[in-house]
Amino acid sequence: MKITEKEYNALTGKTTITERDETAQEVAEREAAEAELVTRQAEANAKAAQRRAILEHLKITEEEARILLGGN
Amino acid sequence: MTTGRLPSVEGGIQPTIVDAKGDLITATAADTPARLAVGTNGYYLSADSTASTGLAWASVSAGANWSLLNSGGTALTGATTVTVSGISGKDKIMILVEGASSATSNIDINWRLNADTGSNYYRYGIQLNSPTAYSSSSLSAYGGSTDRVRLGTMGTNAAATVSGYVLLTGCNSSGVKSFQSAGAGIEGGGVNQVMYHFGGYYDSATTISSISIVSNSGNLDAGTVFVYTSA
Repeated sequence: MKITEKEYNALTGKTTITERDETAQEVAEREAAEAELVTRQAEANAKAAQRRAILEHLKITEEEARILLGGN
Repeated sequence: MTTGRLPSVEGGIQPTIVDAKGDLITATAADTPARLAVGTNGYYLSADSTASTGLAWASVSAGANWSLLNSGGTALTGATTVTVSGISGKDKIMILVEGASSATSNIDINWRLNADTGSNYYRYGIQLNSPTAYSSSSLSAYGGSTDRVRLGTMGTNAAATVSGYVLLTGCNSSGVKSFQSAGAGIEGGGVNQVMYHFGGYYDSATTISSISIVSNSGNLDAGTVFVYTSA
């Protein structure tokens, strides 16, 4: 994957854009970040599903649950 | 009991050399005492080879003003790294990031100095996660070095953004540069945005000539960075 970098030089007022290949370290970091994102989203989806199931079981709405728990 | 002559007094400074409260006894040359009147309230005494006594009262210089280096700010778009360079001779730098976002959601937005990718950023402080419900694991502590400093993490939605600030001092010195950094992501309709609040130092002898805002993944696609500097 290409990496695009933008630089604004405050002395000259010029903006330059360069494109280069990712370094091995950047590839590893990007892949780790993307894997973490997948994990986070899966966790978030699972929690949301769990929450919906509990609300359904209790037959209350999201707003009623918030009031019940004393949150905002 | 010992008896004898009192030593003779030669060349002593006469009390009449001082005339008023706060007068100092100084010298204009070898064996030449001189009076220096007290200075103005709040002034300090400094060495001044052009003054007859070699001393002069001086006022404390006023603090330097902040000025915006990149007029109107620099758009955080079209690149994974956006750099503002051309910083020179400035001791203090303030970086304000407003509404930064990556094309990839739930991504860390970070800052770096002098395009340095070494683990030279020593940050200490807190991370506060924002899941759907607060728990004891939502808060964690950071210490030690890293190769960039996180400003905030976007929530799990493309509309999420990160805002924050960094205040750096000692930027024109050959020693370490200290910093304070705080920022957070907004949910943007998603979850898992993260806030960071750090203090620490950048371990480099090089003066600061550029700052960069870096996305962990994907091009930056929104936001502005403002760079203020002061002598």
